[in-house]
Amino acid sequence: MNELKKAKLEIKKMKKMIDNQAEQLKELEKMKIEFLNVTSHELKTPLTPIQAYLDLLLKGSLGELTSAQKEGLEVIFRNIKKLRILIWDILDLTRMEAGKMKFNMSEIQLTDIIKDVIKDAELSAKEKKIIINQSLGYLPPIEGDKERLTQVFTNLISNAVKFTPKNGEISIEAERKGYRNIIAVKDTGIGIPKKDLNRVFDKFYQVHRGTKRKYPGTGLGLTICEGVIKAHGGEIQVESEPRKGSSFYVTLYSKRLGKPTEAYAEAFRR
Amino acid sequence: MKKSILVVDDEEDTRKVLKLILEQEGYDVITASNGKECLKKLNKNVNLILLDIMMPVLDGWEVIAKMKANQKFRKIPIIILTVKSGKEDYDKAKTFKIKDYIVKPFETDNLMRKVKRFLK
Repeated sequence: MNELKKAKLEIKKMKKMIDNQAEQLKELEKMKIEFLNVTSHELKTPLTPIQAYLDLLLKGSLGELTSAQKEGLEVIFRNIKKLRILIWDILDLTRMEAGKMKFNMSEIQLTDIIKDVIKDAELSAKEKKIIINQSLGYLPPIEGDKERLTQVFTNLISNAVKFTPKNGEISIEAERKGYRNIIAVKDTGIGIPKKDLNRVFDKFYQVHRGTKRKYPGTGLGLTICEGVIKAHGGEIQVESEPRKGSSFYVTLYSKRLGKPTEAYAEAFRR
Repeated sequence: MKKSILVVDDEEDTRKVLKLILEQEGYDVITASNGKECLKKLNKNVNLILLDIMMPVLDGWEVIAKMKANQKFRKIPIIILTVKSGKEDYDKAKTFKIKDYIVKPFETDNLMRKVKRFLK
């Protein structure tokens, strides 16, 4: 009897300990989100006058520039843009994790979005002499957030350009299968080892990281892509073969399932 | 007569560059470093307000609430200019029937397009 009483007491003690730890973890998660929010805000604030003054200088509104001065300012401008993207990604991730990402849903034409993104990617593809093949079949209008989906395809297509070597090829395909609208972004790049395939959507995870930073990035892009697609009730999948290339498949349904934020929150809790 | 814009931001460098951009476009610019100063400088001749949200003393939301409650100022258009871009912020702006919302850092062309739309 004494033994039983002792065991019960022990269980009670352990339960209390687990509850405390769970509470502490919750608190830590809250603190992390708060920290990211504050940091991002403090990073964005000084960027505002920097970017605005750069705009004015580059336009010549504050006097004519020599070509060397202009070149220098353009380097600053490009790097400020990179910094902005990084801060945005961190903020997006924070919002996603808190289930607070904003979605402006309207009827959209996916093929128009993809065509625009391809147009934007053409310049960087040209620099590496990469050919972009397109095979965009008809997709019916769907309900979605134009800006967020543009962000997804920009990310996927710019990744394809980034990881494909010079003189390579990338293909963007779109086809409709019943209610499913499938968009594939295929590259002929370095590919992803099998052991890393199920981690490519993990936050901060980078397959090809190392001290050489051959492929710079934060490892947040694909996490955000997955979050946005799931929030639309869709799916994103990857197939890859090292040294041959990777293919990302986005499936978006013509009939949306559930409200976006709810769908995402659920997906994230899995 | 020149149109008048009230720029409200607690960051001095941001106020300075906004004043420069807007004056180059031919507008009269008044600046305020927080919500309290904004309400003090507000007058009937102000045609547009560029309003930051996170400010000391009186924040942007408090300014909006006070303006909306005042018959004299409730119709002055406001463009929110803030680093805040969360869903709850957009929703809040919508409930106040705010005309436009620009997230910092902004692009000068985008800002001017929106300003000109109000001050045609």
